[in-house]
This record gives sequence, structure tokens and C-alpha cells, in this order.
Amino acid sequence: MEINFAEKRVLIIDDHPGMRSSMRAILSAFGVILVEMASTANEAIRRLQAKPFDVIVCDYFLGDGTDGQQLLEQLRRNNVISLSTIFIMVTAERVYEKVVSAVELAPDDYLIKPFSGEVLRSRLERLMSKKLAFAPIYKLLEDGKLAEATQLCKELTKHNNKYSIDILRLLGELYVTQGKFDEAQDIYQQVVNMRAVPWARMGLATMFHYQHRHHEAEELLEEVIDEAPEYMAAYDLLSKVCESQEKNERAQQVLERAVAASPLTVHRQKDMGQLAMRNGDMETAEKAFVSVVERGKTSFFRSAEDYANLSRVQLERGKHTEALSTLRDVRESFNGSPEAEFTASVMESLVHQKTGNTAASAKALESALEIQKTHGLKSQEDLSLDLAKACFAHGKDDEAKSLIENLVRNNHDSAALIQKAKQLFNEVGKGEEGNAIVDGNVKEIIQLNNQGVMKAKEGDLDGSVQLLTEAAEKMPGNLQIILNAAQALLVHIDKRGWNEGYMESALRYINAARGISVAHPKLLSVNKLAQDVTKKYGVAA
Amino acid sequence: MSAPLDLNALAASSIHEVKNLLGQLTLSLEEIAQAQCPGTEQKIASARFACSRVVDRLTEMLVLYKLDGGHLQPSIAAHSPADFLEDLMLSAHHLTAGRVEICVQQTAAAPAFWFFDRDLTESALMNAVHNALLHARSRITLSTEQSGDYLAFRVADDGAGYPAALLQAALDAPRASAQGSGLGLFFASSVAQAHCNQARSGKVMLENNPAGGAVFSLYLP
Repeated sequence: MEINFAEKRVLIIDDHPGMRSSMRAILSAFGVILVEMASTANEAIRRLQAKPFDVIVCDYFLGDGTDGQQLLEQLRRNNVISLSTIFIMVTAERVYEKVVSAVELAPDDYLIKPFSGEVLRSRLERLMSKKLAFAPIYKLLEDGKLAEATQLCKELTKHNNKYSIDILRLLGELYVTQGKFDEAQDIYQQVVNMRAVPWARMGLATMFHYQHRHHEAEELLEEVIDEAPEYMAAYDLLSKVCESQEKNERAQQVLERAVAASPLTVHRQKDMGQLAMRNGDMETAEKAFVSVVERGKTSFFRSAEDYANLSRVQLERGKHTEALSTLRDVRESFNGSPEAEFTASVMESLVHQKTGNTAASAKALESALEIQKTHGLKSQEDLSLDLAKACFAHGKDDEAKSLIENLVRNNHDSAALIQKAKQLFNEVGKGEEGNAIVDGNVKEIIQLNNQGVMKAKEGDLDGSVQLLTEAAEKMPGNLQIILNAAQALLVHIDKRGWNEGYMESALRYINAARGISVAHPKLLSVNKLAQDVTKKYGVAA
Repeated sequence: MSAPLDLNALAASSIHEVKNLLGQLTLSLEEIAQAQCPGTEQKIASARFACSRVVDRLTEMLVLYKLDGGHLQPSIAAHSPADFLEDLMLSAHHLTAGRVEICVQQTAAAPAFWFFDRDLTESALMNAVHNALLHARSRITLSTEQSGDYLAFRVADDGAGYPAALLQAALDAPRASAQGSGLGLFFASSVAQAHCNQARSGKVMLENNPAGGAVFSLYLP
């Protein structure tokens, strides 16, 4: 394949200036002229957001505590780079080989230093041919045509060529995004049968986990960790598997092992902090959240939630001065964005309340409520509960109750939230009333659900649609409700004829559900129904 | 009393350091090569060859150190054997500056993909290429084919062939000879054995071509 390297835009990411210029010289030897360079992950992200690049050559060790793999994951997860962008990792050691074989998001290739210019050129040419072969699939994916992309992938698996395993891997990922866990499992099993490569075993374990086959998932992951203790992703998944069986202490132990081996990974520290807090291990929780906030300060992708978590655990441990300082940090760090202001105000209200500074606490609460009203912020579960707590402390019982009711109605099947809500009522001495409110709301939602489903069974399809879509609009975060609403709309189309508006709403609910939890069992069946109905009326999906 | 010196760990970290320094040296060489001063081409190529042999030897030492400590697990992934050989040819070509012709012999018997550790296999074969470069008269041929349940990579030269003693030697330990430390062959054999698939492990075979020249074969299950 003849490639015109002069028109390819290349970004070199390396913290070592000498290495950057050497790499530029190597590239220019075979005609690359459009080169930009970045010395840190943040600088790279800025450049990548400013314009698209064809090729990224990134050193694994970036010096500032981030590594190239973390950067790659951030870039792909946040859609900073497209599927057709080539990402090559460069490393001085063999350690990266281990990392790359198990990660969910792998670079397109990696090279071990030193390497000759000819080898880099040959790898680039090959990757460009490969991207060209995959281009039709990428195009469909970029247009949001998931089903067609899957179909095309499936066609391509019939041919045996050097891309066969990559096609299978992509097909597996596509099935997962669509919630087709059985199909994905078959693909991963197919690869494992050829050879037990780590990413395929991880995929298989993930499918077991999504299908609530905890025992199989656990067994497989123990095996993977036993054979290759350096596969960090296996610990993360095993911890989640333990958590879903409510073995929270074990989940924390598993994560602790991974954190000890690789202490710089932010998402793991975050999970660890949350787990430790739930387990009442406040010391570990604080350590984890401090690390998350510290690392976040130099990172492009950070959130006010990290500061809320840290101040919450500091408050819990009686470290009031530290908690207030954390909250000053969040304002400064986010230039007083409404989200940061809201976070800081809610938590400040609780801290001041605790130290007896009632006036300051009331003022902070007023400001939090005001920001929420003007900006219509959708806040995190825990922060909403904290806001409710502050409302109670200042006699705003009605606001508190309505906040909790809203949370419960959107998450009526979350045992963890129900427990937290009841506990909050208990703390303010309204245990009995709280139980009644929480249980009442849960019961109401269940009844509403049942009624909607019942109406459909009785043949009152209009009634079912009306009841459930009204509920869905009121509780857009309630997975069960929105999926039942989507189902009612689809059944209506199936039985009473095509209805463009109904289909649009149904797909909107399905997408919203996917955004909340890709692994909900009901999502799969509703999604299937949408496809069947579409096919029945011969409308292009 | 000071703590006892852990010579093994010290050696390993020194090897790392030397290897990185050599990496920088190799890059400097490339920059010199790009200046294209007349008459330096051969000298730069032999400097490259020397650097490459030192880097490869150090890499082998590190890998064997890990093998010894039980830390080494090959990183198995699917690769195209044909693409792999092409890269090997490019790296080898880089070292000769045209003194020896290096070619890849296309065979229909090569599978589209195979599961193996690309970097370990490259180190093992690079070693064979170094040997071949030292002994070849004019040509080195690289090839790959499926042989039963194994994938075979071959490096053949047109030199005098392996001495009889080497053809009969077991490769289970480094054996020094007039030709060298024997580390390279021991390394290749260790890499082959680290490749395990359903109770079958890889192996190295040394043969002489009836028509002349040495043939090094690496079999991967």
C-alpha cells in the first residue's frame, strides 16, 4: 500500500525532550512533516481536542505519574480520539506487554525501544491498511448504526485472515454495548478455545458477571490472577463480583492488593474509597480519596464529586478544618463552577452544623438550594442525601422529604439507597415516619408498574402507555419504569400498528436506560423487542 | 554490619541502565546516519550491528533472569507470521548495509495468524539472525510455515553450516564454545519452552542444509 506520509498528522507524546526530537527525526526520515509534540498527558489532550490527528506515538512512561495506558483510556472513553486514529505505545521495557494483553482498551500497536525507523514505518503502513479494512465498520459506528456494524463484523468473521481475531474482539465489544451478553460470551469463548488470551478470558468473566453468574466469574478471575498477578483489570472485576454478592470486606481486600501494586490508578482508588467507607473503614477511605483528589489536581478529567467524597469522610472522622479546606479547594480548582459551588455549599453546611456554627451552616444551605434551583443541577445520590440532611438540620423538613422521595422514586429497586434513606430519617429522629415515607413510595412505584403491565395484559394498551410514559417522565432515572414504558410503547406498535412518535420515545427510553446501566437484564429483552417490531414493519433501524 | 549485597538484583538493574544508554546511543547513530556523510555507511552499519548485539544480549540476560525467578510468562497474542517476518527482515537489513542480502521466502503453508509472544520470539530469532550475519557468505533466508500443530520460523544462511558438535548438543544449558558463550541458543530454547499450548511446548532445531548453510528453526505450539 502506497501511503503519503506527508499528509499524515502525527502527535508525539514523551516527557523526555531528547526522545521527542529523536522520534521526530525518525518520522521525518520517511516523509512525515506534520508533527506536533506534547510533553505531558494534559498537553496532549489539549492538542487532540484542538484538531484531529492520524497517528499518536506515545511513550508509556510519562513522568508526571500518568502513564500512556491511562491516557489512552481517557482519550477513548471521552471520545477525544476517533476509532480511525492510530495510537502506538512506545516503551523501554517489556512490562507494558503484560499490561496490554489484558486491558479492555488496547493501543493499535506497541514498540519496544530501541527500534529502527524502517520498523516504525512498516508498522504504520500495516496499521493504516488495517484501519482501511475496518473503515466501513467504523463509519457505521460513527453514524450510530450499531446493528449494521454488528452485522458487517459478523460477515467478516466468516473469512480467515490476519484480522480475524481483531474482528472477533470488536464483535464481542459491539455485542456488549448492545447488552447481548450471550452472544458476546460465545465470541469470547470461541477465542479462549483457540487460546486462552487474557483479554478474552476477561471478556468471558465480565459476561458471567453481567449475567449474575457470580460463581463462574469468581472462579475464572481467581484463575487469571493466579497465573498472572499483574493483570490489574482482573482485580477490579473480581472486586465488583464480590460486591454484587455483598461480600464487601473481601471486595475491599481484593482492591487493596491491586492498589498496592499500582497505586496511581485513579478509578481504582475511587472504588476503594467508596468500598472502605461502606465498610466503615474511614482511615482507608480517607487515604484513598486524598489520593484521588491529589491526582485529579493535575488531570484533565476530574470531578467535584471526588472532593465531596473526601470532605464527607473527613467530616465523619471529625477533621473539620481539613474538610473545610477540601471544600475551599474544590471552588478554586473548578473556578467556582455551579457544580463545585453546589458541592462546597452542601458539605460546608454540614460541617458548620457539626461545629455549632449554625448561622454559617444556614447560609451555606441557602446558597446550595439557590444554586440547585437556578441551575437545575442533577446531583449525585450521596450529595442529594447530604443536602436533605442539611435541610433537616435547619427545619426544612418538607424540602428534605421531597428530596428523599425523589431519590427513592428514581431508585426504588436499589437496596443500598433505600437503606441509606431510612438511615438518614433515623438519624434525625424520624425513623418511623421515614420508613413509612420510603416504603410508601417504593410500594407506590411497584403498584404503578404492576398496573401498567396489568393494563397491557388486559388489552388496554392505550391505558398502559399513558400510565407508564407519565411515570417515566416523572422518574427518568428509574430503570424499571423507563424500560416498562419502552415496552408498553413497543407492544402498542406491535399490536396496533406503526407509530413513529411511539418508536422515538421507546428508543429514547432504551438509550437512557443504557446510560444508567448497560447490564440490566430487562434492557436486553426490550431492545430485542424494538428490533423485532422495527423489522416487522420493514422500517430501517 | 551492612546488609548483604544482592548481586543478582544489582546486576539486573545495571543491565537495565546500560540497555537504556544503548538505546540512546542507537538513536544518536540514526541521527549521524541521516547526515549521510560519504563513506560512513559501512561503519555506521557495523556500529549498529554491535549496538544491536549488545542490546539483544542484555535483553536475553534480563529475560533469563526473570525466567530463573519464575517471573516470566509469555504475553501471548494473535499475530500475522508473515508481517512478523517482514519486521524481522527490516531490522536485520538495517544491520548489514547491503553486505548480506536478506530475504523472506513466501510460502503458502503459512497460517494467517498464530498465537505467540511477538517480542520474545523476535529476540530469539534476532539472535539467530546475528549468528547468520556472522557466517553467511551472501544471503540469509527467513521463512515460516505451519508444521503439524506447530508454527515454524526458520533462519537459513549460505555459510559453512553448524559444526557437528553443535548439531548434537543439548540446548538445556548455555554451552560455551569457540563460537561464543552459547547464551543465544540457550535463550532461544528457553523462549521456545516458555511457549506452551495444551501441554505442548516449543522447541529449537539446528540443521545443516544438504545444499550448504545452517538452518535454525524455532517451533511454536
